[in-house]
Amino acid sequence: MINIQIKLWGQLKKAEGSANISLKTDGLTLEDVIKDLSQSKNADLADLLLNVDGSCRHSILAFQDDEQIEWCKELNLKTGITISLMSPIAGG
Amino acid sequence: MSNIIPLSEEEKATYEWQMTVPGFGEKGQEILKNSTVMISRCGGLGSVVAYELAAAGIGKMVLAHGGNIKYSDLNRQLLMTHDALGTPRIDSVEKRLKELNPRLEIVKVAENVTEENVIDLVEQSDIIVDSAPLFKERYLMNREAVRQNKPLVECAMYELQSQLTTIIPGKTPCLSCIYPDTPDGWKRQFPVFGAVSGSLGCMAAMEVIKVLSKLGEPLYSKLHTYDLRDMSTHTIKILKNKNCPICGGK
Repeated sequence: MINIQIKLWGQLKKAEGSANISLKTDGLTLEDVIKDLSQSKNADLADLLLNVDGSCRHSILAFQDDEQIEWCKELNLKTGITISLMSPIAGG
Repeated sequence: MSNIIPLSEEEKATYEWQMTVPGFGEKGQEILKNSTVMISRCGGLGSVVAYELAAAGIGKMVLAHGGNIKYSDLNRQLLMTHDALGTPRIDSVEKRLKELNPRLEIVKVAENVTEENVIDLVEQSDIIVDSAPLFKERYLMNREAVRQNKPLVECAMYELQSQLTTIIPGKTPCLSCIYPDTPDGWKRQFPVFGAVSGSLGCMAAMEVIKVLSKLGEPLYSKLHTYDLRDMSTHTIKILKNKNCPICGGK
């Protein structure tokens, strides 16, 4: 298990009540990391991250160092890195 | 833009400051004059996009926005005014834009984007600005922009945060590549300040000017995002989705 930082944007931040959180994970892919995050945090956040069947919502945009993270590609996680997660937002 | 109408002397006088911008010039100004921009809706974001583009000398706008002005519009919808409360939003939009630029031609649509009107609205336009609050409207504009091969400037906001990208069908990811599903529980009303929509609206207007006049580097395959709470910014390289049902990842 390593410690990484997660930065939440938009509704995800509102659901968690904080923009920056720490996560212990041994996930190999973005799917793994998001499932770990969903289990360790509150239900409102999990509802935004996961579909009813427990699969990840692919409308969550994830990036690290300004590069989009693809869902299936293996991550090379290192202690202290930050993964940012964005939910869809709109105009108004 | 087959028959370019040259600038009048009044227009040359009006736009002389921006025509000295390197890479823009009188040619760029003529392109704006002969262009049509569709904006939906003209709320917090769309109001500012429309106002900046009217100021910049866009020749024609197709503007879609339904409903009447409410108190809750007035913290951010800068083309609406207190004395026009209860009257159609689109009338206030037209009045305010014409006060600034009486040369501007406006196609006024007193309804929001729907399956029934989206094809016609996009067909009339050279470029589309999506500033609508509901994903159904946003996905309709995306689908139609891709189908008609028209550029689409996508702008969105939440609280003190904003996102902006410019979609070129066949070249960049489309909205459905970035966000393939309609988010559950999204509501038309969400927390935001007018200064957030205003800042983003200005940047979206600049994207329109850049795309039309081939100025600078628009946000192609890049999502610009910022958080005014801590003034952090990111410009993220975004990817096409090979399985996208709208653009096919092409």
